[in-house]
Amino acid sequence: MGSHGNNLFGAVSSSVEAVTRPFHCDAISQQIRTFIQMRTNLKVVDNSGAKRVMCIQAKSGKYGAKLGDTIVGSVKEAQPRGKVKKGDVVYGVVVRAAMKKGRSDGSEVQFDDNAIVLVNNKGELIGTRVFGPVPHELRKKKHLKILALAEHIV
Amino acid sequence: MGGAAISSHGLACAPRGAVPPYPRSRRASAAAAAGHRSSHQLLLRSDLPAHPILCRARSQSSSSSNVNFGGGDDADKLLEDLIKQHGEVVYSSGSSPAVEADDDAECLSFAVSLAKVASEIKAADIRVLCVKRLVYWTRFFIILTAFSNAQIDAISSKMRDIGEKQFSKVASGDTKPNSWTLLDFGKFLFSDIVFPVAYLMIFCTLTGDVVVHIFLPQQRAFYNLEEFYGNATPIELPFDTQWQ
Repeated sequence: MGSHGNNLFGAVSSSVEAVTRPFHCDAISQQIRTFIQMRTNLKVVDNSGAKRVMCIQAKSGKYGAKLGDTIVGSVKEAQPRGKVKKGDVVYGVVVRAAMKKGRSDGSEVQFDDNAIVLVNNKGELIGTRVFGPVPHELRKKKHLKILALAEHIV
Repeated sequence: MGGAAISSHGLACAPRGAVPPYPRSRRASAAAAAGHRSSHQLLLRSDLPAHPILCRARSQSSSSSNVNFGGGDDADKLLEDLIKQHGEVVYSSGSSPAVEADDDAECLSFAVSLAKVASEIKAADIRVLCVKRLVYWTRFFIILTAFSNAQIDAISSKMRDIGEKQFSKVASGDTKPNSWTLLDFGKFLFSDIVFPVAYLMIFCTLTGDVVVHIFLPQQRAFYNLEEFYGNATPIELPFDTQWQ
């Protein structure tokens, strides 16, 4: 966390995260990423058994879900012996978003993929471990349980 | 030695704890790396008390000649001169160990008092873990098992009371009891990094201090936090923690 600035961090699961100082976006090389909304495919990064979830609804936010928000999704792909199976309707917390999230020191966090962690409707985690990097914006959103189970915090 | 001599001549302004070792080591390494000629110059410079005027003249000339950086040695010496003349320690990294130990001791006493409260309400299997090396966002974890929602309520309300009254720490966390209830007594609960200068502040008083995990018995086995934080050092509690 301490080494902010232009650093690229490559995790084993090949989700690259870029923390950048704000600069003029080169419109040709950069793609502006937006919110997580209906029909967005997200990766599941805990060991609950699901692999991909398609968002049905963003629980909060007028335009869609951002980092740290909860969504409702339908499991599209699942591991054979897991706690959820294909076709289940589940809740999830967004832990990595391809949309830049600003921090109060002026830097922005952006990940390469959209990832969620499955939660039940009371807010309890279904899985027991979280893989890949998670940002510490989750602390402010009261998702300390995810931070406590995360393997790497950015 | 050199640092003390410099301050006695009033050349530099207030070199504090961190600065004197640094130029000395730089000087030593420069001497080791530099050639014969410059090592002579370095020896001359370390004779500081005897030649104050010489030193001042040299620094004048070197600051005026900062347009042409001759070699690496000259740049080093120039830099050292400038630091001695104008430098002052704004922040020393890591905030002297004494301050850190104080903070740690305070957090530790807070954690132990919370654990004591929990044991009075008959929570089971209380563990206090020091996760300072593993996790940057907190210092201590307290993990305990409660057996009913009412008990979880009682524990969390007592802990909040103690936090507010004795240690003036506000808890943010789960208000309704859950199978895994979490209480976060942290300092930096707002979106964390304020601005770059305060970065260094963040590193020394790194977000507070104690996070409390209250589990129901089957959830504790399910999530198995102790295994995940197996590398954390457990803290001995001065009272009986095993109720079963």
